[in-house]
This record gives sequence, C-alpha cells and structure tokens, in this order.
Amino acid sequence: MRRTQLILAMLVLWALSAALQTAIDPHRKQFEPKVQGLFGKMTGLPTEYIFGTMLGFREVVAGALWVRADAFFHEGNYDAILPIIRLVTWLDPHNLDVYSTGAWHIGYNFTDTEQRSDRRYLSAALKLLEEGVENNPDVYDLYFEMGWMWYDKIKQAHNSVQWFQKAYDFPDRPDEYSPGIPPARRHMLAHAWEKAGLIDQCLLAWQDILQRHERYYEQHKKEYMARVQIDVAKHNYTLTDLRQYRRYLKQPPDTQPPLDVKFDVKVRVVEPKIIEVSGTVDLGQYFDEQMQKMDYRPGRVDVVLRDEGYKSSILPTDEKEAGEVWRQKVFTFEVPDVTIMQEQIAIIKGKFKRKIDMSKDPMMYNFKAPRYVITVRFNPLYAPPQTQDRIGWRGEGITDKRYLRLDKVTTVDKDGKTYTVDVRRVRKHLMLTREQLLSGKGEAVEYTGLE
Amino acid sequence: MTAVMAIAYNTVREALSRRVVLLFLFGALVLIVLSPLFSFLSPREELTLLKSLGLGVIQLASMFICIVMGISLIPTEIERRTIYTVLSKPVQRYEFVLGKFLGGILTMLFNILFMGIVFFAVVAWRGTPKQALELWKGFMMIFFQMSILVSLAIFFSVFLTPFVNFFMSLGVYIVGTLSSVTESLMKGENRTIIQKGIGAVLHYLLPQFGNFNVQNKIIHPETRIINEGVYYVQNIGYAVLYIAVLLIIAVIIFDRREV
Repeated sequence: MRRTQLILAMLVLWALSAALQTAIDPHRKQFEPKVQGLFGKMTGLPTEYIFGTMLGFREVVAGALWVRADAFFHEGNYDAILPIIRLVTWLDPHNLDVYSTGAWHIGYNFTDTEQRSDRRYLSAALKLLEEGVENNPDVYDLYFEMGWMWYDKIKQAHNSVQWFQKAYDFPDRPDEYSPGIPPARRHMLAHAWEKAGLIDQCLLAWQDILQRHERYYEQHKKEYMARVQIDVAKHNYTLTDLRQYRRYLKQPPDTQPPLDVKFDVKVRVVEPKIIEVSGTVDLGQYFDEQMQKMDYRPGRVDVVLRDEGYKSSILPTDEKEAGEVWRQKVFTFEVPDVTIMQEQIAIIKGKFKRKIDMSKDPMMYNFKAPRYVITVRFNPLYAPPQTQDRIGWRGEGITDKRYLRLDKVTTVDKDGKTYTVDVRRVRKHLMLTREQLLSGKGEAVEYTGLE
Repeated sequence: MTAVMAIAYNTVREALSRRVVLLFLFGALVLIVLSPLFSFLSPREELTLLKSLGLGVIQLASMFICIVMGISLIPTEIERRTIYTVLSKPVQRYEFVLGKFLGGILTMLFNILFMGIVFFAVVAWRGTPKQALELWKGFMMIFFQMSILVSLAIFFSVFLTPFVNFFMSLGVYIVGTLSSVTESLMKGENRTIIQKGIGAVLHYLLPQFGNFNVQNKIIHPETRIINEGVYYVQNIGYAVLYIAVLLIIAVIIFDRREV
C-alpha cells in the first residue's frame, strides 16, 4: 500500500513538473539564442568548442571565436570571418559588438581591387542587424547601427529616420547598465531628416536635441562635453534655419532660377570589362572663381551597372522600379549570382569622367547575363551643403531638358506616419551587351525600358 | 528527523574530507582567481568574459563535484558495510536516502558559496561591487541545478555501479542542458511523429538542466527579461518537484534492495 501511494505521488509530482516545464519553455528563450536547432548548426565547430558550449561556457566560446575572427580580419582572410559571425550570434545573441561589427564587415569590407564594396552583401548586412534588433530590442545600439547603414552606406536617409528615432527614444547617457544613447548620437536623427529633404522635421529635431542637451547640462555642469553639445546643436539649428530662409523663403530665393545642368552621359567599353563613364552636370557656372581655384567639387554622380532585369531597392537607381525584391527574408551569406558595380564619380568643372575596371575581380563581376543596364544619377539630397545652397535640398534649383525626373521620396517614421517630398534628380539609363563588355569594344546606347 | 540530520551531517563531513572533491574545488578556485588573465579573449569586453568564465567554471566544477560525490554516497556505505550499523538502528530506509541527499546538497551549497565568494571578490575588483552583487542569481540557479544532479546521482546509485552511474549522470546532464534542442525536436516543423515523440519524451522525462542557465542575463545586464522573478520561482518549483520524483523512485528501489 505504501509503495502504491509513493508511485502515485511520484506520478502526480512528475506530471506537475512536466506542466511547469511547459510554462518555463517560453521564458527560457529570453536567456538563450533564438535560433532553433542550435546543435545541428554547430556541426562545423571544433570539438572543444562544442563541448565548451554544452558545459556552460557558451559566452566564453563566443568570445574566443570572436578573437579568432579578429585574427582573420588582420590577415585579410575575410571569407573566414563570415561563418564565425554567424556562430557567435547564435552562441551569444546579446553580444552587440558582433552584430554591429559583423554587419559593418559584411556591408563595407568585401571590395574589389579598386575598393568598391560588393553591394550584393548589403542585404545580408541589413538582415543581420535586423536579427540583432530582434534579439536585443531593449538597447539603442543596433537601432542606431541600422540607421547608420541606411544613412551612410546605402545613402537612403529616408529609410534611416525610423531607426534613428528608435535609438533616440532611449534615455540620455547610460548609467552602469542602462541602455541609454550617448548625447551626440541623437544628432544623427536631425541629419537624417535633413538628408531625407524634410527640413521642418529637421529643425524640430534640433530644437528637441538642444532642449535635451540643456537639461543634461543642468545636471552635469562639470562635464566639458555637455556644454560643447549645446553649442553644436545651436550651431546646426541656426545654420539649417538660415539655409532654409536663403534657399526657399528669401525673395528671390537663392535656388531660383533653376540651373540647366545639361545632363548627359556616355559609356564606352575601352578594354574587356573596363568601361569609361563620362558626362556633364553643369553646376560649375554657379561657383565663383575662388572656389574653382580650390578645386571645389560640387557633388558626385552615382553609377550603377547591373544585370538587365535585376531590381534592387538598395541601389541608387530608381526606387519606383526597384520595389523590395532584393531583401533577404532570412539571414544568409549567399549573394545573388549577378553582377552589380556601384561607383561614384566627382563632378569637376561641370564634367565627370572615370575608367572603371571590372576585369580583375571575376568573383564579383561574373558577367553571366546577356545585357547590362547602367544607371547614372545625380542626387541633390546627398550633394555638399554649398552646392545645395544653389540647387536646394531637393533639387529645386536644377532643371534639364531631357533627363530631369521628379521622384517622390517617402519617409516613414517609427509610428508609421508618412512624409512624401518631391525630389528633382537627373538620371539616365544606358545599356551594354555582354559581347561588348567581353570584347572590349562598343558604346552603350540609351535604355528606355525603365522609364 | 534527527536521524536524517545526523546522516546529513556525517555525509557533509565525509564529502568535504574527500580529496577528489577538494581537488575540483581547488582547481576551480585557481581558475576563478586567474580568470582576469583570460581577458585577452575579449579585449573590449573584459568583464563580460570574466563573468562568463567564472560562472562557467563554477558550474563545471560543481557538476563534477556533484557527480563524483553523488555516485558514491550510498555505494560507499554498502561497500564499507557501515550501512548495516545505520539500518540496524531505528532509521527508516527513506530517512537514509533523504539524509544522504540533504548531506549532498549541503556540501554543494558550501562549495558554491566558497567559489562564489572568491568570484564575487574578483568581479568586484575588476568591475564594481554592484556588478558583483548581481552574480547571486547565477549562484542560486547553479545550486538548484546541482541539487537535481545530486538527486539524479543518488537515484542511479541505488541500482547502478558507481562507474556506470558516472557516465549515466554525466550523459543525462549533457542532454538535459540542451533544453532548447529537445524542445525544437518536439515542436519543430518538418519533423516526423517519431522525432516529435522522442523530443517530447526527452524534454519531459529528463531533468531540464538547461532551464537553469541564466548566465546570459548576468553577463549582459543590459538585457531586459520579462517576468524574470517568475522564471526563477518556476525553476525553483521545478527543481523541488523533480528532486521529489527522483528521491521517491530511489526510495522505492532502495526499499526492495537487499542490503
């Protein structure tokens, strides 16, 4: 009888423990990697790392692997770093350094012999950061990194705004553990609004930043940088306000009448896989002789060569035709098997010209497609401020008889509110065949398939 | 209850005088003290690595101490025939098992506290006392994790030889640390019924030591955990229930064993 009672009690207790386990399971995931089936993914790890991980040294193994990645980085063995990044984020999903450094590495460091980065990897870099944000929603760091990737690398500030806003919402300056944003980093939100062409939002952001800096200074008067931040925010607010007045509100505004930039582009194949891009963006007449002597460059044109039919929302081609086709749904290091070349060429005295060599990097430029579209674009949103003083943030001060395009650039903020501005840009699409590129002879013809 | 306490007291005294237990303890203490030297493994986040290494060392050393101690708690008494003396007195067999378990976890508590204090001092030295104070959650969870392991080793020891028991306990511990794997096997898409069944059996039948791995939160204190307190309470409850299950089975088997 006593034995039966014990067995019954044991069964009841076991059932209770199983029920408790069901309640524990969803909570446990907060303490460990979110990726399911970690064990299977670790088959490529050396044995000592697997045992170390299983015996409670997960973060130690992650740290050791990350040091290994650093060694590979200094050896220039970039390909070896990629799987390590993946493993470390699995082992220690709260290691912010791996996400931010890893995404930077993927997005910036895979380059051809002329230091042009491999744009096919940008989607992977963004996806890794998205995964980092998902695993670490309560710290500002990866929201900021995501914003920076859009702002600096992809140069689509309108997509960076919502990420900088999310980082901005974190409290000022961390205490020991608090995930607060350093004060100076708040400035990026105002810069992003400006580069997105939304000047009123930019000024509102500077006002808010200034107030925050002043409040912070009241509590930290001994900190030298607290005073400096106030000066920087005041300077930037005043300058932007003044520029808005001079460019748009003054009568007549500095941006009028529009300059005819006489935009045109020629692309010639000069040797196998080497093209020469040349053309005109005539902004030179505005700048006085003194600036010409300084070799002042009023801006750059973006040049993109890609397989015909290949669309991407993160290339400076045409947002309307690109859509969201290129973005990764799940993080992977596999890049699309296409050729993408992106370059910027400085405008000097109204002209631009550059030979672009794609012959030395067959892994990056495989030229498998029969035809290639080349897009050359001048984007006022990312022009230098002195140039924008004449042509405006959104290109109000330019015109062109043939290639002027009125693009709608939409910024979505963190709350889903949309802001759309018209941006006047000049853009031309051209087309080259594979035969032309491989033979080393020929000239691109205008391509109207995307207009 | 006096009998249980007396057995527990003697068990602690004996366990703490065992060289192999002291060896693990000493080894762990040396590693903890020297852990700042390993900061080169993560130059920018020295404290992260320090906490990770220290907690890992405490967990690993505790695991070996638990198994080495637990597998011999009852067999040694049988081998030395001291058990006859004990059981000839008014001591029930369940009291004997309970006393051994209590002695085992008190020994563990002493070891974890000892290692914890040293580790606390190291973290306070390299970081701040506040950062060191947060380690207590890790120590607590390691203690409950090891309590299950002690009861598991005692459970196996009533019907297995110490040699087999060592590998069985170690094996169950390793499988039990892979809670997320067994769960994904049980719930994952593209799994067959058989795979799901095996996953469910492993997940609910074996003790889930992985539940007690809360080190990531301690290593990255900026991480926000929803209902953190509830999680700790649930796990302590789970440990108590599972220990009770193992001890009941051990008592049932030990009752029928000829000694």
